[in-house]
Order: sequence, then C-alpha cells, then structure tokens
Amino acid sequence: MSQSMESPALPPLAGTVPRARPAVSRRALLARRLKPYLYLLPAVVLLGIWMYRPLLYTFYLAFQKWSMIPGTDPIYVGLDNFARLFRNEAFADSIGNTVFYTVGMLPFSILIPLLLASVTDGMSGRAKNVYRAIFFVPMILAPVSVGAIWRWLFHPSNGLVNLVLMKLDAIRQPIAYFSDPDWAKWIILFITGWKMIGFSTLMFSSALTGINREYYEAAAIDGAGRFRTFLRITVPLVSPMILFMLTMSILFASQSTFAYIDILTAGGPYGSSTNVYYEMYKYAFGNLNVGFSAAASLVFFVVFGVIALGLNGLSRRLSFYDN
Amino acid sequence: MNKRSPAFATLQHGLLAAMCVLAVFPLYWMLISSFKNEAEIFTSSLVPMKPIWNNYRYAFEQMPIFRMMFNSFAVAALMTVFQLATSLLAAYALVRWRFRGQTLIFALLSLTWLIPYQSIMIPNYVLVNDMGLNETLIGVVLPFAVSTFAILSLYQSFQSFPRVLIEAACIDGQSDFGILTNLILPNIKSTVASLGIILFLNGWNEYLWPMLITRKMENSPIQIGLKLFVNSDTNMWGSLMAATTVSCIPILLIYIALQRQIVDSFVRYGVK
Amino acid sequence: MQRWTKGTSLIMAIAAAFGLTACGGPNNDPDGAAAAETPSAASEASASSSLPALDPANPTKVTFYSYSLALPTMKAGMEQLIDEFNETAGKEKGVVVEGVPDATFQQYKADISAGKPVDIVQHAFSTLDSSRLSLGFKAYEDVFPKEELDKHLEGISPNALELGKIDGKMYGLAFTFSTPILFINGKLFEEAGLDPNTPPKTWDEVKKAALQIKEKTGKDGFGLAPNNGWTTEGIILSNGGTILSADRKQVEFAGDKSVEAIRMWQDLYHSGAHAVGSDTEVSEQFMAGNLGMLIQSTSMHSGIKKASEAGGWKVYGAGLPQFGDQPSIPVNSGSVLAVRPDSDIKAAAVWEFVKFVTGNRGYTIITSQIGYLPLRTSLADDPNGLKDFVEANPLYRINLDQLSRIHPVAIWPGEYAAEIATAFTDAIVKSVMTDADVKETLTKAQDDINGMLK
Repeated sequence: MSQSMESPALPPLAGTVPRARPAVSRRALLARRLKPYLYLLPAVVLLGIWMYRPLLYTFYLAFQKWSMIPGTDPIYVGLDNFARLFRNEAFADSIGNTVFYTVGMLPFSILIPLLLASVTDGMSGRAKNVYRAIFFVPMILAPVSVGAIWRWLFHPSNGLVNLVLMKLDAIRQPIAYFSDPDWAKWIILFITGWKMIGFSTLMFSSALTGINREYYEAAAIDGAGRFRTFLRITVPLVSPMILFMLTMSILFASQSTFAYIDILTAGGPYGSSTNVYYEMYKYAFGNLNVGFSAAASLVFFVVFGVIALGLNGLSRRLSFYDN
Repeated sequence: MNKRSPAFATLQHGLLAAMCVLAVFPLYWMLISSFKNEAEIFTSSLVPMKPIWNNYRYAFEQMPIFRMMFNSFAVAALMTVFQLATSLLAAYALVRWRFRGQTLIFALLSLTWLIPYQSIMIPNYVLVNDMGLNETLIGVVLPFAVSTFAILSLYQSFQSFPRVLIEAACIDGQSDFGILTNLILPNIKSTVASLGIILFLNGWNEYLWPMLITRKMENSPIQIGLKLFVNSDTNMWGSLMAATTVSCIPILLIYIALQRQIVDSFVRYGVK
Repeated sequence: MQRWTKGTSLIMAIAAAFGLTACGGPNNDPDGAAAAETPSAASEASASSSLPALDPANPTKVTFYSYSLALPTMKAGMEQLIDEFNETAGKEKGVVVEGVPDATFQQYKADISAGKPVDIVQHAFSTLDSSRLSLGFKAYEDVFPKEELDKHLEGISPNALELGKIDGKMYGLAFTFSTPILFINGKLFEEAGLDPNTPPKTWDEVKKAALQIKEKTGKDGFGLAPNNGWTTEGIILSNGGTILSADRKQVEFAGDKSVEAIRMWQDLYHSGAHAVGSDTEVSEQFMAGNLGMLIQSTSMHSGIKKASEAGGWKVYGAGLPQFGDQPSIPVNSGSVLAVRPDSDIKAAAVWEFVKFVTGNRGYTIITSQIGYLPLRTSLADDPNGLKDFVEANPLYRINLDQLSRIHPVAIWPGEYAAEIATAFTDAIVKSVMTDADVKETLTKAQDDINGMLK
C-alpha cells in the first residue's frame, strides 16, 4: 500500500513500513524508531516499579532477616530462612491446604460452570440471560461483604444454617463452622467457589456461543443422547477454554481464598484452614519477619512457574489438535 | 438439544432455580437481617415482623460510610482510568509497529500472571511508605496503574481492527496518536467500555493491598472499613448487616442498570 | 487528599522510578515532619532527674494508639479519657494527645515501620518483649524521672505493677486491665433448678451445672472458647501448672499439672454441654441468652449487661473456677501503656498523659465508662471515685477480690513472640477440641517453641 504513494508533497508517514521511506531525515528516523517505546513507556515503567523491582527485591530479602522497621537494616542470613521454613510444620500444613484449595476449586471453576453453561446455552434468549445474570451476582460483591454475610449465616448459635439444620433434626449439636477443624477449610472453599461459579459460567457460555450449531444438529440426527453430545461435542470443542480456566483456577484459587481466610478464620483453628499466601502475609505483617515471608514467596514463585509452564505446553499441544 | 421432554425441562429449570436461590439468598438474608430488631435477629423468620431502621442509624454513627464509599469509588475509578490509559497506549504500540524487543515485552507481560501479589507486597509496601503515600488513595491506586490483562485484551481487539483503515488514515496525514484517538477508539468504544467494567469490578474487589495501605476508616475503601467493623467485639449483627447492605447497594444498582453490558463484556473477554 | 484529584499521579509514578535507588533513604513523610516539631532533632530521650519544661503556648503533640478506640463498646469511654486530658492537664501543661484507633494491633507496627511518630501504645501483654526488642519501646526507668515515677506508682496494686516488667525493668504500666470471671445467665440457671446466688465454685461443679442446664433447657451450659488466648493460662496455673520457666528462657506448659488441667477442659468440652465456636461467637451466644455460663473478661461487662436487659434476663457472676480446694489463679487480660518518646520534650509530654490516665481520675473513667478494673483499688471505696459504680455493679467485687491472687499473663520471650503465641494457642485448641492426646500435643508444641527460642 505504501508503495503506491510516492508523492514528496505528503508529510512523512511515521510509523508506516519503514523500508518504504528512503527520503526522511535521520532525526525523523530516530523519532520513528523511538515511537513504539514511547507508547510503551508508561506501562513498562509502571510494571518495572511495581512488579519486577519488588520481585527482585523479594529474592534479595529471602536471604535476609529484617523487620521493616526504619532505621534497621536487613541482615544477611544465607539460607537460614529456607531452613527454618522447611522445618516449620505450620508451613508444611499450609502447603497441604494450598493443594486442597487448588484441587477443590476445580468443580467450582470448571465442572459446575461447564454444566450450567451448556444447559443454559440450549435455552431461549430470555431465560438464558436471566439465569446467567443471577448466577453472576456473587461475583460483583466485594470479598468482605461476602465474608460478613456468610459469617452471619454460618454463625454457630445464631446463624440460619444451624437453626434450620437443628429444626430439621439433621444435627443435634450446633456446628462451629469456622472454628471446627473438620469444617473450616471446606467452608472457605465453598464460599470462594460460590463466588467463582458465575464468572466461570459466563466464560464457558462465551466459548459455547462460538460453537457452530451444525455440530449439534448433526449429533441430533445421529441420534446421540444429551449426555453423549455433551461429552463428545461440547467438551472437546471448549477444551481450549477448559484449559484456560484450569490454568486460571490453579494460579488464582489459593489467592482468592485469601480474603475469606483473613476475614473468617485467620487461618485457624490451629492452622487447619490457612494456605501459603496467608502464611506469607502473617510472617510479614503479623510477625514482622520479612525474610521468612520472602523465602516462602520465592519457593512458591518457582513452584507455580513450573506448573504454569507445564500447562502452557499442554495448551499449545491441545490447540494444535483443535486445528 | 432440540427434542426435550417436558419432565427433563422441568428438572433442568428446577436445578437452575435452586442454583439461583443459592446465588442470591445470602443477599436476601443480609437485607432482612438488617431490618430485624434485637429480639428477632436471632430467629429464622424470613421477613422482619417489625422492621426497624435503628441498625442503619447505628452503622452510620460508627463508620464514615459515605466517605468510605467515596474512597471505594475513587479507587476503582482511578485504577480503571489509569489501566485503560496505559494499556491503550501499550497495546497500540504492540499492534502498530514491529520493533526490537517486542518478544521481550510480551514475555514480561505474560510473566506477570505468575507473580502472586503476596510475593511483591513487602517491597511495594516499603516503597509506598518511603514515598509517604500510605493512608492515601493514590498509594492504593499506584501499584495498580497498569494491568497486563488489559494490555493483552486490548491487543487482541486491536489486532482484529482492519489495518487498511489505519494505513488510509496515515495517508490522510493523521498523526499516530490521532489514529488511536480519532479512528480506533471510536470504533472499539464498546470493547473499551466492557474492559472498563471488568477493571472497575476488579478494583472494587481489591482486598489485600488497600488493607495494607489504609488502616483508618476515613481513608479506606468501604471493604476495609467494614472489616474493622466485623472485627469489633460486639453482638451487632443487625447493624453489621445494615453496613454490609449499604456496601453492596451501589454496586448492585450498577449491576442491575448495566447487567446486559456487564455480562456481555465478560462473555466478550471470555474468548481468548 | 487533593493530590490525586489533579491527575498528577502518573508523573509521580515516573518520578518514583527515578527515585528508586533512594529506597530506605531519609524519610520525607509530611505528617512525621509536622509532628516532630520538637527542638531536639534526633537526640535519644534519656533518663534525667528532671524533664524539660513543656510550653502551654506551644503544646507538644503526642500520638496514642489504642485498640479501645476502635471497639464500639469501649470507644466513647476512651474518647472521654483523651478529651478530658486534653482539656485539663494537657491544656495546662502544654500537651495535645491525638488518639489513633488500632483495632488489630497492626496500625502502630505499620506506622512505626512507616517512620511516623508513635509515642504511646495501648499494648497487649503477650508480645511486649517482642516489641521491646524490635520496635524501640523504652523502659519507664530510662525515660522518666525516678522520683516522680515512684511517687506516681504508689497506690497501684503491686501485683499489677509486676505485669509489665521484663528483666526487672518496666516496659509497660498496666493500663486497661481485667480478670476473667464466670458470667451466669440467671434465667437459664433458674429454669434448670439451680440457684444463681450460689454459683459453682469448682470445675466439677461447673460441669455438673452445665449438664443440668443442657438437660433441662436444651441450651448449652458452659462456654469458654479454646482460642481465648489468655484465660487458658489461668486454668493451667490454677492447677499448679506452669507456662514459662522462671528465667523466661523457655516454655514449660507440658508438665503433668498443666496436662491434667487441659484434660479436664477437654472432658468438659466433649461433655455435650459446652458451647462451640470462636471467642466472639461464644460470647455472642451468651449475649443472645442461649448459654448458661461464660468465662470472659470483665471488659465485656457493659455489653453483656445491655444484652441481658434487652433479652429480659439477669446476669450473675462468680470468680474463675478452681480445682478442688486450691484457690484459682486468674491471669489478667488487657493492656499496658508502652512508650517510645524520641526526645526529652516528648518524654515530658508522654509522662503527663501517663500520669493522668493511670491516676485517680483516669481509672474512674476507665472503670465506669469502659469496664476495666481500677488498678488503684482504693478507688472502689472512694465516694469521689467508684464507690457508687461498684455498688451498682457488684460483679466488679469478684474481680477486685481476684486481684490479690492474680498472676501475670505470659509475656512470651524473644522476637518470635507472635509465632510462640500462635503455637501455644494452636496446641491448646487442638487438645481441647479434638480427642488428641493432650500430653503428646502439648509436649510437641513445647519442643517446637523451645527449638525456636534457641
């Protein structure tokens, strides 16, 4: 396209394909070269300051002992933080819970939403929209509000859940959901999942909208049952989205439980509902033991990095199939 | 999918309705609890027999609710504006030109997905303190002035914009910035609006960072103020639910008004 | 607040990028600069025979971080205390105190790490040593004149003075302060055929009464949250057990007596008449009239009293239950005033405030408006002080009687205090709530903590 307009009367076209413009001055050339970087500058600078600088700083702090108090300096302690970390039983437990939350979120982020999305997908426009709009409501509520509401519902002696269960004679003793080690982490998981379902449902709905109706019609002609159609057609066709949600879910599940742990159980009872992110927060801001927290961050940055790379590889392969 | 027995359809709707109840009942319970008096609050009645306003009065006395509400809106709105501005520029550069280091930029952007906020909170906290910005809204907003999610999403939308149009505008003598503001933006207005909604909700729901930076009620978003209220040692469930209701109302109203667009914008960005 | 409205933040962000290398450099916090308007730039406050004179025309500003300011039930009383100081002694001498609410004991840490002036903190007991080591709190003997200090401390119960001492020096003066008592719901007691005027005295009697309440009324009989964090220590001590070694170098809470005490609680917890839930939830259950007995700090008295009036029942009380015929040894909860003045003039200003709030007038307000105990016990019989109040609220007598037997709550040693406190509470919760072997659980926690202390 640019070759067609050789008229020298036109102003220099910074930004079009460079090799087509032999007649521009060196300064204009330099400006043109710099231009993309200039546009990227705000984003890159901000990322540098608020993401990568702190990340490197965290790596540095992982080998120090420091309380963040001004006037005090970090003291180099070598691998001491890591040694303490791996000896610390609470931390080991928190890893277990992190895995629990990560795996436990999968039904809420993939299974139930996929079913809801495919069921509503077959409906008329109006019903579909109403359902989806309602499913989405929990997603827009802020975590503290959500925490406060559920804390009230699950209150051991005065909460609705126990009142109803007692009335139905389903339980004889009230359950202290947030201070009973058998319940606390399940309730945290449930609340996080409750908030997640609507979002994931929309994600899968969008993936389903992209599917060609003809596949379903062909399946119907072949006499395939509903469940077969779901397994044979829906699931494979939305597999890239499944994988995307899987990655999201794994990377963010434990982070999204953070607020509820903080508000509802503070990690208790005896650490049975905590996860690594909450422990990191506690080390740093509760115990003012920054090096310890940084060491934990470093370990988990690496672990999640490996998981994400693996999933990324898998996703490449799957999209290859898809083509 | 076309042939469905009525029984199956009923079952389907029944299950979906149950899911809907699960999604909104907690909100209903919050609302009616906020109107119950001290004697009724501990019962399971589904409507308050003698609705009272006292809980609201008490909540407003204890907390600068309007102030915190304003803070919440300011934080979410500022984050949205900054993120949109930085990502529009960045995404435009990435689509418009081929240049050295582009792959590196993409790598840097994608890698941020792997950084949990808990790993970078300490240095950021120290920096914000050193800048004297704790207890300020700008201190809350700054670390969130750029969003890689926004950049990558806009990059996708820009890519589908016809190049021919851009080059035509170029020939017409439009500046590069002019092309972005006069040509591309008006055409992807709805996309940007959708993205803006998502970013706003993200900002509204941000928890850990505002909690670290603002610890006084008058400086904090409503969420953090509510948390302080939750932790106080009283049996004030009625007023706590009143405060929670107030904290949810604005965002619920926005959702009801813009429900179509909000749902659509999530559907749109679902397509990766 | 105007800054961000002008949209200059982006510029600030970029400016910050250039200032990156200046991390940890001098702090330019405007608030800090304003408040530190004292002559001595950074001179360490030192113990001197006299403090510099304050200037009423140019008052010295002092910050006071207080959790009571953040709790609805205590807020009004604490505000009254600060206001009254500012209007009387403060105005006269030249001191202005600014109260900072600190609901979770996080604010003062955060502000100290932000370099803001944090002069006085209403500090919890258990982490005092840790704060002394890492947050720069000062010993009273080091910053205030000895004569004045000695004179001021006269009249405060000597047991109470011991509470804030570490290695012989006073790092905190007991301030708001309470002991645990057994609150009783009179209505449930009577419905169960019990007499609230002769409350259970021993743990055996508590268990019997609790079961009787459960059987007759269907409501839980007794509640003490396993994560209460401090009353537990009183239970252990009452049975002759220990928490810390005498030299405070290690913990010793897994001895036979301690284990026996916790086993008793474990048995009570699983008896079917024990309330479940967190400390707050159990108290809420009691306030809602659904719990027969509750062990809680007296500072909850005003809230409980109000709830009982709303619910139409009467509160009775008793001391911390005992084992057999050994009198119980309650520990205290509440706070000390910990100070960190950064100059002599600040020290003088802080001293004025400390004197006021722990003086006769201060304690009169603290007890009658907030609900803590008067550490100047003579006030209870002083018609100008609290005589009327104590007569109207006889439950306070129980607390005052317990003061003679009180033992300080453990101040966990070293800079790992927060971790230690968590490990101890976790072990107790596990022992009480589950059917875990108590001896094994406590021994393990003890070994872990002692490992940490090495």
